Amino acid sequence: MTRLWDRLVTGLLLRPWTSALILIVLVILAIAPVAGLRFDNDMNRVFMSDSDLSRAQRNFEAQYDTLISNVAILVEADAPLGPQQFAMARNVALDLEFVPGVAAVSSPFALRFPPNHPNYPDAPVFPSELAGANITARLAAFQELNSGLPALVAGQSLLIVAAVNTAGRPLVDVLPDLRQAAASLEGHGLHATVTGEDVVNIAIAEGLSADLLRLNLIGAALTVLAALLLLRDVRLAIIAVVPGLAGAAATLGLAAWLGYPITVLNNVIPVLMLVLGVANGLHLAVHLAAAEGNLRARIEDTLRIIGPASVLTATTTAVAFAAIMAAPNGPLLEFAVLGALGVVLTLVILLLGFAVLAAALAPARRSVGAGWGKVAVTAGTFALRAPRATLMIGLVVLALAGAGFATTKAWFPLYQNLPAGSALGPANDQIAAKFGGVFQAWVEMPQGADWAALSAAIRAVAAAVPGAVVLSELGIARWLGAPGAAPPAVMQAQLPASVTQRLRDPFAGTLRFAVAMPEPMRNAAVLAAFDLMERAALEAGAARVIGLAAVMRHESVTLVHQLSLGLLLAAALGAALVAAAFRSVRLLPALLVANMAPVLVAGAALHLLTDGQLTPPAVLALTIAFGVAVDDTVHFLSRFRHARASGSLPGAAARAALTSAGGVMVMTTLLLAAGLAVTAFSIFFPVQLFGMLLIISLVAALLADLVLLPAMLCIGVPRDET
Amino acid sequence: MKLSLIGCAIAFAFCVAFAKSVHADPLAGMVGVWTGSGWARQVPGAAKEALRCRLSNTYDAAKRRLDINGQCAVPGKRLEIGGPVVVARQGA
Repeated sequence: MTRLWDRLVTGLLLRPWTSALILIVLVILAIAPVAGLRFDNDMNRVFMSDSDLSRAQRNFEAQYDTLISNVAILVEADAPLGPQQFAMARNVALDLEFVPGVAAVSSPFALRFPPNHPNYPDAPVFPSELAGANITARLAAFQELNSGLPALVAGQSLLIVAAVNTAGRPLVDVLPDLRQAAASLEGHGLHATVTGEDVVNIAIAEGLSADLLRLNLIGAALTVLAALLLLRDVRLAIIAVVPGLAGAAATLGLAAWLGYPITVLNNVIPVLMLVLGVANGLHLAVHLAAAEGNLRARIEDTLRIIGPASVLTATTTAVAFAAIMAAPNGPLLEFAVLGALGVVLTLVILLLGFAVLAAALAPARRSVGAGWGKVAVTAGTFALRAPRATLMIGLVVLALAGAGFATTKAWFPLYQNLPAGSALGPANDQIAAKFGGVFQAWVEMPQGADWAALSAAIRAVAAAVPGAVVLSELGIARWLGAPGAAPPAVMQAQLPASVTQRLRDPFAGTLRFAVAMPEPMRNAAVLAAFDLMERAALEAGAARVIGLAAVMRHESVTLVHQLSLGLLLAAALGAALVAAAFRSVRLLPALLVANMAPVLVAGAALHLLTDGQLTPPAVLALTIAFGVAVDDTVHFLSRFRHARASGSLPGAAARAALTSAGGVMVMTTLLLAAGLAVTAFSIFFPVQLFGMLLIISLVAALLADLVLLPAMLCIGVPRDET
Repeated sequence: MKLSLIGCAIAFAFCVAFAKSVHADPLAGMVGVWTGSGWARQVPGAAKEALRCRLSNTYDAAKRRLDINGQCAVPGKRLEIGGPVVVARQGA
């Protein structure tokens, strides 16, 4: 390995122009397709797996030649709704019927009394002439039918739902027309918000492109600034930063090459490549600055000593990304592949770029970061004086952090993926409070279940969740005043097919009903209500509960558990890799303790950051954190091993490692934290959380590497074998 | 049946509206895209329903014939609408 590396370094330095050419071609090729990047507008992909539930959901969706997406328009008034406001809202509901792609419109104005109603036979609940009509009395008469059909009017709000056939016209094309129609209500004491399951996805995609640009530009600025402040030398800063910048841009291009859309999860990867690339570049630049000899000897010395550690740290990070593949899930697989390949690409660009830039720009020899080195030595020396006590404190922290992490709960709040300031979150809460919610759970009866079984299941759900908004054939039958039997087909034909067709399987005749609800993990109370509803339905004889609400409820938990396995896998593989590289099995416990402690500390911090919710972005951050945290461990162990090989005793070797690597470890941690601080500027909370957790992990990892690791190395855990 | 009823209602509404500005060929003035609101009944004697229509009219001057095409919507339903309006010859 060492010989192969030496040959590579020699080749790199013998042919600098070839290296430069390869570098330029590689970067241009990688970046070329970046203009073709697309942004994901299907957040639901993240929930779907190969589970029975996901398969049932896919079968359910595949049964219909139309692909209906319900778009809700929440209309809210400044004052109680009167005839004028109702008339304006009704005009909007009618205008929506003309929007190409809209299959049907549900609204309070579409409500009708049954043909046999004693007072208003076959009349609309909202009459043609609204002025003078007693709307309150008519709505009360409708409610007295006990149909369970939603009136879609509550207090100062009303709801209009447009069923869009996305097979005919994509929702992204229809949405501007819907928003324009809704906007006509503004300025008349009414406010309209367009929302819905898929509208949320589009809002996320709309925010992503601006966020990606913002993250990369500000991230680059912060990293450059941090590098300049830490190195205090423009030429060294260029050597450290430029390869990382090129690596980030190339990784963005890589996403386009792979055909991967940018998602809320992976839009942080280019910034991550930037900071990781610059951190490694900092290690190289600091060593180059202090190396002795002529220019070529300094570059060669740097690449021979720091290069292998850079390769190893990149490998552990790539392994951490690859471990995410443990979750069989499309977007996460893309995240893992893009991250792992991005790390490799950034490493290649880094090593080539360093060789080329150092040859052109290396400043005269001087020491860099001596002040930071003193900080590191002070911290480490304190631990070396009392290694056993330090280890005990470390183990207590590990145990407490582990307990904190173990008590987090798997969670997936979809609303947190909305851009900051989006009106959709509050609108969805309003719809949930007044109309049940914008998400639907579909309760499916067993094949052959009869009308009595359907009625019993609906009654059970209504009893378990009082006030549940249920759409069912039973509701239509109640509306007709004959709840004892399925409504005649001729009566059902009076209702829009987009509303009724899913209530009965078109082939097997299986009966279903829909329960409107908020996203199931909006809060603990909503989750409890969903679970109650599901249990009641199943106990009453339902075969299964499907729909996006059910998929979100169950698949998200499975997803978090799978990702947690990925975290363990990343830790095991990363530690094993480093131990193998240093040819010491006994290093494993020290590696695991020193690097799991920071990850668990960050995991436990979720109790402060997210009320203990362990979300997929959080587990992803912790997984990557292990891969990054182990980087400083590698650099420390590399110097420690060099010192031991020179005959130093463990304590002296640890001090030597602290002196030579401690300063740059502090500097890279500061630089990484500064670069990752850009996530605070993201409009997406998952991105902010990702950054916060990585920063917490890295700072904790620095402490572990400067304090805990030297202590463990000096008390024989492990006993050094050299 | 419903369609034709509503079609007649719409056509009638247009005729009444433009009768006020009677000139030699009132139908010619109805060419173009029209949007409007009103009401209709599903069947005679049924309750009135709010109605909104979008029509696109073309006129054949030689035949003195106005072709009406478009859609009308009552809450919860959308209807295609179409048909001719022809000026009857005097004495016919």
